[in-house]
Amino acid sequence: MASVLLVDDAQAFAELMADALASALDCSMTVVHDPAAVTVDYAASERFDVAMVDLSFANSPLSGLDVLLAISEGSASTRLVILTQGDEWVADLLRMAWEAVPVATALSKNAPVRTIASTVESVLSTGHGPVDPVLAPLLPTERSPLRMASEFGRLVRHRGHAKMWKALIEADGDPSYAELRNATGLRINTLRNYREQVVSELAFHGLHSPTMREICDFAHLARPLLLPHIQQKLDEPVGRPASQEGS
Amino acid sequence: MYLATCRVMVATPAAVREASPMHRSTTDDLDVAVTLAAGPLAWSDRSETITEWMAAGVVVLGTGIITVDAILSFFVNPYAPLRRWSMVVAALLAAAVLMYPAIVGFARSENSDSLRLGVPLAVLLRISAAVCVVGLWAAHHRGGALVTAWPFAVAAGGDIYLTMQRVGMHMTYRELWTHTFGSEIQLGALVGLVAVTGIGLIDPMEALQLSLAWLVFLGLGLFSLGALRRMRSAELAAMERIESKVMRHERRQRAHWLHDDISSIVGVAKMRLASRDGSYDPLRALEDLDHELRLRQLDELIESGPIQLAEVIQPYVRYAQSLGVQVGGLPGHETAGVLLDRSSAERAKRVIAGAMSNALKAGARSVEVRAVRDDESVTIEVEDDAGGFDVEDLPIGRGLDRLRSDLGESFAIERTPAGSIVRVRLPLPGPV
Repeated sequence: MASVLLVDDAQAFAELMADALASALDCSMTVVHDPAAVTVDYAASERFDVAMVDLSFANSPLSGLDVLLAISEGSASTRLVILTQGDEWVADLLRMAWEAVPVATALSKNAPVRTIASTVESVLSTGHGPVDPVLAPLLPTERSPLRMASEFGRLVRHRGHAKMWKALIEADGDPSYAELRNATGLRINTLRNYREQVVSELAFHGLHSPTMREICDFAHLARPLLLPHIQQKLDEPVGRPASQEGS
Repeated sequence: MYLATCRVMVATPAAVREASPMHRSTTDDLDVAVTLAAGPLAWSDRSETITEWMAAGVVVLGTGIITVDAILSFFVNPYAPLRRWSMVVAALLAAAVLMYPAIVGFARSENSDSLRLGVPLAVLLRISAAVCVVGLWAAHHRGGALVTAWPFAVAAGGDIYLTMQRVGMHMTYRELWTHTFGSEIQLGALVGLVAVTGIGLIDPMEALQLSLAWLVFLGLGLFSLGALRRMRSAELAAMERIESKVMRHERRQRAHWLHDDISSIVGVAKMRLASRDGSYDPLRALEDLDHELRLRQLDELIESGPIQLAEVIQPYVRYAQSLGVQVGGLPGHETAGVLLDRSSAERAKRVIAGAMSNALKAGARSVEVRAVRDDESVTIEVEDDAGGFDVEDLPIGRGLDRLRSDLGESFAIERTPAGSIVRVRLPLPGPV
């Protein structure tokens, strides 16, 4: 019997959807409401056939992207399905998740249950399924290899970049150079240079000549994708050649 | 480990706004000095407030006065021609460099590239300009005429204010005065002046006048800076009050909408259910309610500003889906992510709504919604398999006929073997 995981904090919806899918697909459904409970270890131990993941969780600092990445890391054989309202509020997150993670398909929560069931069945049997027409206009026609999870390391080339991105992730709204200096200990001109160094890479993510606020918003959105690279650079031994950290 | 790392980093309070007290070191002072010397353009990243526009005007005015003063003194003091002309050229160049950030501040749009002036180049140009201007002024003024330094002080104060705002530096009055009058540079200048007086290089009276002029200059500069800061605080407070009022109004409006529209529709549904009307399908009624709410949401989004084509298409695709109609041909984000202004969004909505409504009523089993864009426009097509109709038979003054007369040549209806295509071409807004 196939096993399907459903991660959604809307309890009533999740329970009803699980019942409907269990009946339609004759599969075992597991519902998790707290995204923090879906860890790499959990995914590795359970090894679900399909994981259906909501993108936004109102009462959690984590997003669906955190969950998708954890499952992808813990169990590469688990097929990932995004299940979302698909409105403008989550459009950027949807696009980022679609390109960064090997997602099989994306479904709208408001699609008829029979449509959701048939798509999940297709994913179970073939590994992929048709994208919900409601979400199609929000997704790129082709996934860019430059926006895969592994490529986010291009934005964090050294320890200085890691400090800057960490401060941006922890900042709210529109941080100034002075605030970033206080958070990172880096000089203002150094921060400016680091910012210039990442601006060209940010163009691949649809940001052209971004303001500090736009860079900060991007940092919040891409947090789960940036953090592993940030942590890696911060953990590297201090004292690498200065040329590797830029000016 | 992965999520544990995420949790640790996410749970850290966003403390950057509550700036921790700086441990002032020579490196910190040098960082501040270089930042201020680079000027506002090097750090420009946002649109200006009214106070910043005024500060830019102060810089223009102050630098302009110094330039005019230097040029006028050209006619008063009998210098050798080469010296005269080199002084005038230096004054004009210095004025251009000092005024440049202010001029760009007046003309700049929010999306312009703000990082084009490198810090080292900005520092070099601005310090050179300042040396030229100060040198010109000092060469032409002695004794009581030193008071003519005031426009330079005011311009410097405005310039420093603009730079500090760009970078996000906020100092209290005490910190400003301490950093200025208690700095090592100030002390060094004073010691230097005493030294050159002591060894007889300049007259003590002249040294006293120079030091007084320097102090007046600093004081005027700080006064300008402080005045501009006060104005900005008042301006920000006023903006916050207006913003708060607007948000309160918006929330009340939404509460009213929720109460009136949704409650009334739900009320009708309850009454019909209670009457046990045999023709009433509660599931269908809920789908219709969902669609109506999404259309209201779409109206709000269109009112709020430029909207993506995808957001206009979505409610109609959802509704068709709920009726079991296959929807395909949809454009990807590259096309559907295009921004429409209010007029184009309204037209797109009318066309898609009209075409979909006709298709669904005529019993279409599948509908395609396509879009193609170029630099200036986007063309939307809705094709159905509902059997088609004779365009000349459209009811006059209603539905698609009304659209045809309202939209003119940008709108077209075409019959196909299986159904029909409704097409509209919409202009895209120019660069923001």
